[in-house]
Amino acid sequence: MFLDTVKHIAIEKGTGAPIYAPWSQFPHTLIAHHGAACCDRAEHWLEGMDISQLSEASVYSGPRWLLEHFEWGPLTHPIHWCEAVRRKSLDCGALAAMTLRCFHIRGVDAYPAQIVQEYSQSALLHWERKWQDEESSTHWLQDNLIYHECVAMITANKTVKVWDSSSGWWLSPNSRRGYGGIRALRIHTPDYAEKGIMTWENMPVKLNEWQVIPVAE
Amino acid sequence: MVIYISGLYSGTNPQPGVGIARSLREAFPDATLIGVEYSKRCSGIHWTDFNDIWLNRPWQELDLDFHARDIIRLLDAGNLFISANDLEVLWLAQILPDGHPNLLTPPADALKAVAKPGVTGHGGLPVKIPVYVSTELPDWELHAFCRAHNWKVWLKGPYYEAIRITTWADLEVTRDRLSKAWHTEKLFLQAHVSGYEESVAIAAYKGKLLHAVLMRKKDITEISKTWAGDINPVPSNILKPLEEIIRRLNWSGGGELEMVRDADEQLWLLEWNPRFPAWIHGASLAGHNLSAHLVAGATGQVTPVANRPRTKEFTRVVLEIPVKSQFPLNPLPEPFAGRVGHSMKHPSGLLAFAGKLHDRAASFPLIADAMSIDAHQKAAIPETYLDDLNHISHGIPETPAFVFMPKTAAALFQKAAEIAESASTDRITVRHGYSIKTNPDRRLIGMALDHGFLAEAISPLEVRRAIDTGYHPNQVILNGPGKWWRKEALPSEPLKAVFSDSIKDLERVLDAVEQGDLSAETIGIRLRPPNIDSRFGIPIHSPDAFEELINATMRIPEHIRFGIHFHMASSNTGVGQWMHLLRAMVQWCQTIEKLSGRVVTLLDIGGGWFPDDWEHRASERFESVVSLVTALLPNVTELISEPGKAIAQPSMALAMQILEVQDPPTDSGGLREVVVDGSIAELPMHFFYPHRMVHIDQKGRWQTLGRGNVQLLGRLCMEHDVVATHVSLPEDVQPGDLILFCDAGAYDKSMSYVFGHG
Repeated sequence: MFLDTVKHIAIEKGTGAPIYAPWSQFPHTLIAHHGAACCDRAEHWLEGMDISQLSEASVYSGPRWLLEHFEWGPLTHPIHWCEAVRRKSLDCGALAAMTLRCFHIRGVDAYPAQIVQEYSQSALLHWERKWQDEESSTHWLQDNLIYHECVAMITANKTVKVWDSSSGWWLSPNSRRGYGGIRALRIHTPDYAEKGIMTWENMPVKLNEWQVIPVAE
Repeated sequence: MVIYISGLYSGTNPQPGVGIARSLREAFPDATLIGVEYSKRCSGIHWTDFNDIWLNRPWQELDLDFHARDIIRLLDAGNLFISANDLEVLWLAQILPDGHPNLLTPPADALKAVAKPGVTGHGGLPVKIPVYVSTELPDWELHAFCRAHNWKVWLKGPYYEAIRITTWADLEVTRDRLSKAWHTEKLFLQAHVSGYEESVAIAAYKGKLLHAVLMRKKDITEISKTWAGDINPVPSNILKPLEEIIRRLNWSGGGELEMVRDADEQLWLLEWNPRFPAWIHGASLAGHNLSAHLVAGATGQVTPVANRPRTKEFTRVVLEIPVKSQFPLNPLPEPFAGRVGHSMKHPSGLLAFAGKLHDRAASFPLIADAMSIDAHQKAAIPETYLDDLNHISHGIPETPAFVFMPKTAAALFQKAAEIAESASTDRITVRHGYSIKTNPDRRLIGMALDHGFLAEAISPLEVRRAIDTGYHPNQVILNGPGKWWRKEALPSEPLKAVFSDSIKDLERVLDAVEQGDLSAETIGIRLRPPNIDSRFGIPIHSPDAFEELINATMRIPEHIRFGIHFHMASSNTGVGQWMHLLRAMVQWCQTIEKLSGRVVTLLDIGGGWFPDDWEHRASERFESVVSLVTALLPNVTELISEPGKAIAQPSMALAMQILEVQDPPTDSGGLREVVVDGSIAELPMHFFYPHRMVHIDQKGRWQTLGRGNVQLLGRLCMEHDVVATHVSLPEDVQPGDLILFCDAGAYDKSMSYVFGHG
């Protein structure tokens, strides 16, 4: 029964709309600020923790410590910094927003990345139930696809790496189909000076546009 | 076509023989594949792709010359032989140094060029080799290597095994085990590189690279062995130089370059294995049958068309397969009486094979290179030690006794004073703090005072001791959780600074100040680093704890100066990690200033410095710390550095007298036992770091000691009272001779205890 993911591979929806259509206008998640000391303290705490936890590692290392401190789970938006840092669990958007802050403090070129991933219907049903139990929006679930937020790091030679803050690993465009396969991507870089095509492993990536990841041969 | 394939071990750290057979069977359905093994317990012998199994006796029983003749006869008869066992590959290269057309393993010179850890043949590849040292170095320097790499190091055997080392005790125990197992003391320590593991597998024949793939590990076993991975083309910046290296080395056979890619995308070459990797059939599943390429290349056949790749990715599963009737299973050995678990020595006798090769090292240059040690080096003794030794070698009274090294101590204090003076700027005065707990000897406290040190105390009694030795209260810093124990010993005059170890402690300090029970120029807090386990200081690991700290800081009265204290033993964390911690802590201080509105005027840093680390490039380090603090904390006017044991440790030695000298052991590798009148009661730190040692005979002649075959047993009737192992003593050592343990002036002295005195 778990092979249903294979049966529901959808390159395009029946309407002819692209696979990312349900989320094409979605902005990436921002954590709000009360404009007061409470959120200042929270932001500073996050930054201090990241510098401590980085230890001697490269600034290009993913901030794995976030997943040691927070679980991935439902969240109700909007959320403020002072609330977010005290949560036991955060959704992918909040984790990505925190990751972005960590990379920026380290001086790393990093940007929000939005992706569409394929899973099984049974997985989506479980997530739907869990999010509804917490009265959180299930807008990110549709059929066998999910909307997910990550962080894209731009390194030398116009190379992109995509950090999945909710899993603590770097994504690969090679996982293009099947359970967990990445089906579409948008990297949001309005302020990035360099234009043109980037490379994610061997795959060309256009910035600021949704693009369907071609199915691997 | 008949192909012999060895290396059939198929446990969780498997050899590639079965994978090679599976790949060759796909490519050459009609070939005769014969598995070669040395133990019936290697389950790969039951794999169905083998037409037959050549089961030899285990290596310890095998007559190597006879076995060599058998293999050469097979090769001469036109059979191919693919060895997938590193030691066997090495041995075959010694038997046939120039190779054999049908022996699909690298020749001797090629193996020499890829021998670990240096892998000298890697030139041209875009890789670096992780830093390493041989265990031929003195223990003193091995300890320094571990500190320099933050205790993230691996101890590796000459052929197999890599064990993570985190403490000195780890290193001693593991070195002993690996040395015994591999019949050599020549091991090496290599720095850990953090990152993602990937490998390049190659197939080559007579210097021609036939095929290669890149595999990235996607899942690993508990010991980091591949469990799943993806197969990719080898990037041209690796492939091109690799082709040249293969040509230069005249490589034949399989091979694997094991690498780590760090977060900066730098590749580090860990090992170049002289055989296919165990995951080699994973590459075949992806359409890259390297085993077939090798056989086709060696026989001049056209490489069979690869099966259409089923996937770029592969994974492993555990399978049960039928046991072949001609190889019924052996019984499981009975557990040793009264012990837990079955004693299963390496089934094929691989360790015994290593021993046999070591015995033949004289005629096997490759083996000699890997295993033989000329002589262990001795740790250098500083000049001031020599001066002190010349003065004390005749005049040691009753032993065991701690011996003060006045010239050494004076030189250290003087150097520290000069460093503090040169590191001070117009804005920041650098001062050192002498940690009284490290060694409360009045001679050392007095020297600290004379050289401008402040005194760092962890209790009112230590404050009193500093004052009694000549310190004024405003030269004394009090910190730690024990500051209220025997509080009646506290002076009424203001102390230099008081640092609180918890929020409760801070509240108590502020109450005491308000009530006039305590007075200090600076009141401050000790921070607990959030990424390292520590019981000391105020935690900042959660937003709530951090908020509580900010609120508590804001309660410190405005008229009192505010300070922050950060101490962590650099000898435990490593120097690099300590420096990172410091940078992180200075950032936290800046944040605390910003959020609390209290400016930091005094920063107290340090603790637990190993003497050599503290001295090494000290001026440069202090300069960088001062500029960091100046940039981020502009209101800091005083930087207190507490070198901890860096000053006290070299300032005293422990003299012990030899009570009894046992006869040398009759078994090779055994240790000669020598009993001394000292014990772990006087040398409690011997578990944590090596001590440089000096032997003084009864005529007062002395010599430094290196690594050897003597075990120094303490006088106590306690099993663990072994004060040193693997020490070299002169052959004519006598009862009554002295052994001087240098570097015993810090916690050896202050934490020594009276035991067994009646």
